Amino acid sequence: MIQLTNLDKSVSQGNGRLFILRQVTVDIARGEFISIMGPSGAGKSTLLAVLGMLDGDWTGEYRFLDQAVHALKPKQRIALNKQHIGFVFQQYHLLDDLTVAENLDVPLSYRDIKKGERQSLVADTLDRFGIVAKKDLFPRQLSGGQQQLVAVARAVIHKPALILADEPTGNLHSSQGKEIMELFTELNRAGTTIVQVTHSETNAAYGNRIVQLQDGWVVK
Amino acid sequence: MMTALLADLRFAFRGLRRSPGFTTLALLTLAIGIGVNTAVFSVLERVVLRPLPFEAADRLFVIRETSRRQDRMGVSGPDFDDFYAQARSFDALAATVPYFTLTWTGDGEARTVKCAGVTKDVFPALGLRPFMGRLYTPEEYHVDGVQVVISQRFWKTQLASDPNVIGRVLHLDGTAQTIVGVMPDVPDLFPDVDIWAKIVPELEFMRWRQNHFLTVIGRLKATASPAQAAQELTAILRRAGPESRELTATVTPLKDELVGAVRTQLMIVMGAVVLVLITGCMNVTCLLLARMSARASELAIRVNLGAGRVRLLRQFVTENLLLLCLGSGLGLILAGTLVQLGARLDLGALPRAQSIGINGPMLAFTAVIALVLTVALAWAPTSILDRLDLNSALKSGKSLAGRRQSYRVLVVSEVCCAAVLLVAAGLLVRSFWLVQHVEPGFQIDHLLTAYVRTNAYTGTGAYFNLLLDRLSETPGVQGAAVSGCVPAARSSTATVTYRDRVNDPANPVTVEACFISPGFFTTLRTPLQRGRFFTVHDDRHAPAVLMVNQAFAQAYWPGEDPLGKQLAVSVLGIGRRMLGTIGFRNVVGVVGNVKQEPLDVPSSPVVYLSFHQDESNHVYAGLNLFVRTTADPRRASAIVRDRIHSVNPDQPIEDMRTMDEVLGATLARRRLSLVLMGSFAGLALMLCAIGVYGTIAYSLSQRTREFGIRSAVGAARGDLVKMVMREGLWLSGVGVILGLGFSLLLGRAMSGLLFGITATDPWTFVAAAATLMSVAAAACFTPAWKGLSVDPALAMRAE
Repeated sequence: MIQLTNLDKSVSQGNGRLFILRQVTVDIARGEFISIMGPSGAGKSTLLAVLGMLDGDWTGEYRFLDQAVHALKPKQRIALNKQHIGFVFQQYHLLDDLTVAENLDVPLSYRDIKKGERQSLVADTLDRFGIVAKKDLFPRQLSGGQQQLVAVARAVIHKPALILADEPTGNLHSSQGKEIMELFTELNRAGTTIVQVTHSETNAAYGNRIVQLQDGWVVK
Repeated sequence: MMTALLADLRFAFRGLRRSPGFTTLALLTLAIGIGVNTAVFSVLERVVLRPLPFEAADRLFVIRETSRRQDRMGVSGPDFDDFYAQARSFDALAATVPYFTLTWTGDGEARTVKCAGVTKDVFPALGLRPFMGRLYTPEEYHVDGVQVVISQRFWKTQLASDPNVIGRVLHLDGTAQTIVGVMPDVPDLFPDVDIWAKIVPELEFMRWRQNHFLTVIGRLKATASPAQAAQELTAILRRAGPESRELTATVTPLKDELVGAVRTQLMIVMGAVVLVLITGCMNVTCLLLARMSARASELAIRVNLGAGRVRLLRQFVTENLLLLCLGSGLGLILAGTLVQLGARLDLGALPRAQSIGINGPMLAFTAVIALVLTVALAWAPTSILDRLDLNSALKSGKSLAGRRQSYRVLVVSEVCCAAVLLVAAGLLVRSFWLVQHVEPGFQIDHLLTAYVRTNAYTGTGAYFNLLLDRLSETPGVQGAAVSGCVPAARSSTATVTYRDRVNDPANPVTVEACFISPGFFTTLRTPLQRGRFFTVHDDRHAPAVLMVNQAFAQAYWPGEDPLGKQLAVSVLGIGRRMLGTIGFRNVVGVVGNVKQEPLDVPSSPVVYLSFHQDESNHVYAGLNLFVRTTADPRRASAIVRDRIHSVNPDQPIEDMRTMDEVLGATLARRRLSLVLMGSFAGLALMLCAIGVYGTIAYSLSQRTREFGIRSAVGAARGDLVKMVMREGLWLSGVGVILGLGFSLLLGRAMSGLLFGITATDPWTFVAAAATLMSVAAAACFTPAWKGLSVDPALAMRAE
């Protein structure tokens, strides 16, 4: 599904460049549940942003579902992202001024889906994640765990092939974290490829492979 | 306390210096808002609000007479005598003739001097005393000429401030008159007087009861009301001769008489600049909110160090005050410049406009605005302090999340103000355009006009014939004519009696009337529609003839042939009286409609009479000259002057102007309104655009995280730009709708300034809405496009 070959990511610093990712070469097959681990500043979140095509400023090769992302124009990358990728963040990143149902509708609104179909998808997702009763609440009226649940629901509502999760349980207590990880496992069993960034060995254990980063290098 | 205030001031000054962008924009906005308000207020104060500079000015009233056929006439000599002798409601009654001219000879080229006629009570009634010398004695008021009182202006400009002027002799209209006094100028009431002439009760025209030419001013007794006075004066008229029995007296405050016509105009302009100030104020509020919001961590540190709410507010109010002091200073400079510019432009079209400038009330007004704004702008820091989250501000060191509702209100309000001003300016622009495209009925270009006064009723017919012959023979002159009227500027009224129908003596038909020479229409190039023009043979020995315009023919003889119809015409006006029965005249021609009134007044029926067939010969006392030239008429003016002086070297020539200038002058007040409202609407539009731009840009900077999230879940840059544009345009749309609604409500006040359209003219409303929405779209798009280039990954990580 994903082949990264000799991928470098750097930013200018003074007269030289600071490398964040160096010669990263990783293959991820469809249906895998990968955990990216490493100390702070290792480049984990940057790698996730590159995988999610939020960051296009890198060199090397990146193939996603047999398409050469490195050769795509920004618009084409966004189109690929829209079609196949969902994101979950540590800080949930729900939109404060929108209700739960409206937050779920946001990704669909950017995908040329008719309103009727969108409403039906939102209703299905609310039901599937058991948050129907919360649909008219605003994020600030939910607990952290509930917010992350909504964030995961938002990430999967358009049925992505790949979910990228950046420290998805970082702001949750252990029982809430466990619920979220079990949800990811369930989604993975259903066929969704998952790549998560985590510091937690316990959470990494939910996956079937670990990619270890250090100073931008893949060390394992 | 003082030390703390100084420290606040020092800190405020440093703060402003540290943010040059904010400081420059805020100062410019405040300077524009305060400057235009101060400038317009100084005009309003000088023209409308300031009391007249006379004793007991609030009890000074103007008395007029109204008949069924003519509204608000002057008072005749005999009626004034009756009022003077019988009225008990007034402490003083005085008559004036506000404007006439005399010829001053014997000191170089003959010059025209501007005169005001006064009866003996005028100066005492106004409480004015001579600047030098003395007033006329009561006995001198019974002898015409001999002594003369001059104005201070004339003394300075024409007599070089001669300290020995008393006793000096002036030759006025051929008589030697000794200067006995110099009166201070009275610009509010008589702006351009050179000579204060006596109104001698024994003069013949003072005995004509139909000659309503006096402007009567009375000082009402403290115990009397204007209504009682009008009732008493009307009762006096009822007891007078048969000519006065149908008249009604009206009593109007002197100030209303002078400035009533421009009060609404100036109030509207003042309203416009207040809207500009409000718009500017909202911009500054936005800037302050943005600045305050960015200083959240600083506020948090101050609170943690022990600063109370009051202490913090004092700091911010001091900053606002400093900003406003600097803004007011710049505003005053701008106001002074605007007033000076205005003096060079059309402010002269306003009454009492002579001494507009920087003065005490202007400075006081600026100070009041600055104080009001200081209080108003205190809202911004208060609002920020109310929602300061110390913990998050300290932890993140970032700005406060903006309360978007406040910004929405600001955008809507700004657009609303701009919409009101744009509609007002649009209505004036469309009116002005329509007025300028009114067909005047003659060819305006290459036409020179001047007033040629003889002050003689006999023997001058031949003089004018000779003058016209000389001018017609002049190279570069295509035609010359004289008339008693000036198209679009000056005309007389007349009552007409029909031969072919029953006339109602109580309700005679009143029309415009004009005495003309035979070449008048060919010189003006007005087409003949039927019959013939006047010829040199239509003189006092020939059968009396007249021509009518198309409007007359359509109004009074619809579907009939006017040629051969007969009318008796009684021409009214200053210095005229009916001499026995007026004879009937044959209609010999119909011409197209020449605008006799200003261009913004609809065409009315006009009768044209041969100038050699004026029974009273009054028309010979002064006629307007029209010369059609082949080249630029301004260049021909010298040669025209020479030709006139070749006939009579002492002939004064007044008001020599091109017809373009004459028409332009009739639109001066309309142009002034247009220029002012147009400028202020432009300013409001600019401020509105800056405000919307700034608000959207600031709002975007506060929503970086949101846009990062939206990008992460699939939004393309175009989607986000569309979303921001939609929000901005929706808010602008609400502002536009509110503004148009207010314009509908306020439109009635503008009706008097409009021409050819109503205050609800749909095209103007549509154009204003389209302009504002386009500006709003541009103002939203630019920050949206720039602001949304943010890297979503970075945006979210920054959180």
